[in-house]
Amino acid sequence: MTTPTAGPDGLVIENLSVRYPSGTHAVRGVSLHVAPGHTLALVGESGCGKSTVAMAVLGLLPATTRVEGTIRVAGHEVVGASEASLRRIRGLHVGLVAQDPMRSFDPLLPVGTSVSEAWRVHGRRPPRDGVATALGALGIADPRRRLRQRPHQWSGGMLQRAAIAAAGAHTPALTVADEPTSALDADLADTVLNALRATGAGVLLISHDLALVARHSDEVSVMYAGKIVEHGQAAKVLAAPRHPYTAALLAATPRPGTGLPAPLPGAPPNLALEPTGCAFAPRCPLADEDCAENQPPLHHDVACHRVNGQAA
Amino acid sequence: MTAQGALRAVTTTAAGHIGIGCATAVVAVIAAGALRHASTDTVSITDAFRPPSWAHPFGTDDFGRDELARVAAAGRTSLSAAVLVMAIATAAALVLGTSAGLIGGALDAALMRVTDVLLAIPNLVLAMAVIGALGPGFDHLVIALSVSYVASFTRMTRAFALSARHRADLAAARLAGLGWWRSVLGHVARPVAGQLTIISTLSFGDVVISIAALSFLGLGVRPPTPEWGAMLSDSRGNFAVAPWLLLAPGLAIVLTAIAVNLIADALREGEPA
Amino acid sequence: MIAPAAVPVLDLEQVWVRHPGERHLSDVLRGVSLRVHAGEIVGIQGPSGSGKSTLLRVCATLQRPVLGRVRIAGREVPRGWHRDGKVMPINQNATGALDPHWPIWRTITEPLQARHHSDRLTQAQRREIADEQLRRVGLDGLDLDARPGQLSGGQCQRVAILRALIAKPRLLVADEPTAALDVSVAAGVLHLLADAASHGIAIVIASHDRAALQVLCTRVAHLRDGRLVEHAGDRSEPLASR
Repeated sequence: MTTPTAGPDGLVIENLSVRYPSGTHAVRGVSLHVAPGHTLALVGESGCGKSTVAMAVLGLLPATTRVEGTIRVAGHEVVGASEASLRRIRGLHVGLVAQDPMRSFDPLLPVGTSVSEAWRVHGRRPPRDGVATALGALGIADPRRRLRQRPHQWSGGMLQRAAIAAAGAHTPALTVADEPTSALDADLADTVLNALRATGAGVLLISHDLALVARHSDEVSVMYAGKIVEHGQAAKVLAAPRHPYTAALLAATPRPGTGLPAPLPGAPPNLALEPTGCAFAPRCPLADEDCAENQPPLHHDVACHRVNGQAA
Repeated sequence: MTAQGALRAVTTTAAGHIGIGCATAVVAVIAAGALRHASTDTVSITDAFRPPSWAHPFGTDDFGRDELARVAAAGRTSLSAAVLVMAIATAAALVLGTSAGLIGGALDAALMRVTDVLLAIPNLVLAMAVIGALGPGFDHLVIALSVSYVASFTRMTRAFALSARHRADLAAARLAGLGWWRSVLGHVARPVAGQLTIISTLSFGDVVISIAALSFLGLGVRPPTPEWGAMLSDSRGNFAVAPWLLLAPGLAIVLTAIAVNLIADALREGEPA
Repeated sequence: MIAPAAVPVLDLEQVWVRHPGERHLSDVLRGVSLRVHAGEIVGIQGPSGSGKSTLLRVCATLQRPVLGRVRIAGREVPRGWHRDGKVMPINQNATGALDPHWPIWRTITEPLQARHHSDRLTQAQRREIADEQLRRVGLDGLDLDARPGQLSGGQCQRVAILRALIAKPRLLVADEPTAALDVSVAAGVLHLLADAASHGIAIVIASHDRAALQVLCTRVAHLRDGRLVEHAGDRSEPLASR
């Protein structure tokens, strides 16, 4: 995968490595690129490191974590940046839509006040009726009256759209959406994701829901044990997966007419220990001795010895 | 919290250290007094108002009685009264508060109105009213003070029980067929009792001081039972002649209150969030 | 497998539930009727706020309807019906459904302490039973003395299911059991539920995962505006009739 140089690009990550003080090596050399207007989904199960990547992009990892590599948002370097530079990047160049909308809003403030905070934090004022217009565009009925209400009077789906409006306040080049629909009912997921993509920014979508990803992303990167194991066009990867883990994930997703989905054997590895060989080998139906001894490099967008032939 | 957790909390924090220090001092005095041969009631007018010496480490009082023995005996009285008050209040609150919180309805409403009234009256005033009705004496003192502490502890227990009412583990236990009391005791009572222990430890110092105050006013234990507050009251007039008679019981009250409060603080710090 | 003449395990008849203190316009459930027989899995779908959780609470006998009748294995609730493990719950937030202070061996075997079980088990016996149960669901590596806070969401949910199954229920009421779980762990839970049904346990499951309900259930019902409308799932018997 080519890594373009900095410019008005959405997001460029090169060889990101994140180690927590406890010793857990959560992200082990991840590279990806999100172009403006495109949606890249980062999928994987709990503990694979995808949320860590999201937090790293926003510079929100605790100070005690060791972060190596490059993260460039609209040309601005995030790794190693000072808190002051990060504050200038957040909101202006990258927005965040977090998992639980109820937690993103101060329960005591009217929703309108919280949303307009996105402007005020950077010393600007929202354009006249700007907040109401943005919410109306996202499908909130009667926005002017609604803005005066408190978060508990809004549904989860509506709040999440308000969060999207706030994240898009300064039309950033990138929006990071960390499991934006996990806390919502499935019928709201599509509405929320359409709203997200309508902003025009590049979207880094963190999700464990493969069906959702298939409907709403252009590209997908599958993560396992801190590494990207497969990457490609969303429709292609999810219809015809090449990496055994991606195939197993798809087999574990319920699909009407195919009987009960098949769970994966075993459990994800403990990331405090460096794996010898491929991290997925213990659970992989195709694994052989080579897989157990040598870590497969990402080659042709797949990190698998069996798919790419023997390791060099 | 567990017993080891409590021990760790108390022995590793600064508050715990000082608290244990003070408590040790008080316990030492009480033990020393108990081991001595001098009785608290041996009257010897010729020995009255002797300053501290080897024979009488805390001196003698106006009747020639050994002050150390009296302070120690008074300590046993005050502390046992305080322990009884806390035990009664805790036990009653556990039963009443848990029932009110979990059953709700008329029981809860009635209990809350009663505690409302009791809590509107300051502890000491309420205690004085009860003693006024029943008369002074050790037993009546304990009952009088228990009343207001039962009221405040019950409210707190009820709050814990309310938050536990809709817990899924309680529902599962009930659906499985476990009896009401059994499920409650297993799932609700334990954390509630834990919180109650901390609260009662925090209140212990208050109770000791209240006992001393009531006795100071002559409303507590009856003479000749020694009590710190009563001893303070008795020695007021003789301050110019025998200041040690005020210092000993006064210090005892202060050290006990400090010890209990600091230990309770240490326990609270150690309590997992 | 389903004997049409058998008494249904769960029989809701014209059940109405109202939010306390509100007018009839905001009835949560309006005349809902539902029958579930042994071995059937009925899925409940519906938009947020449609009353799915309320319906499940009524099924689990944790909430009484304002109108209508609820019968468990023919006996009307609350009259003439005893809580004895016939109905057991499975919740969305599994970690919150387990007592945070209890080790898992104690939680799993808690239903065995109920009055209607005549034998009093020792701690050692309970630990052995718990060990055996954990092995059945592939959690044999788990420490018996672990507390819920030390386990993952998926492990907690499997412990909760074991607790429910050990009571030998006739009916399992599962409210969003796979909502917070990874797809692979969720698949394992679906297998556990299907396995329970194959042993004759009736299951009512609410979920917003339509695909999961379709592959797991014999019937799927939609709850909309307080009313229930049914259709067939993938696992329906071709000639099932009620």
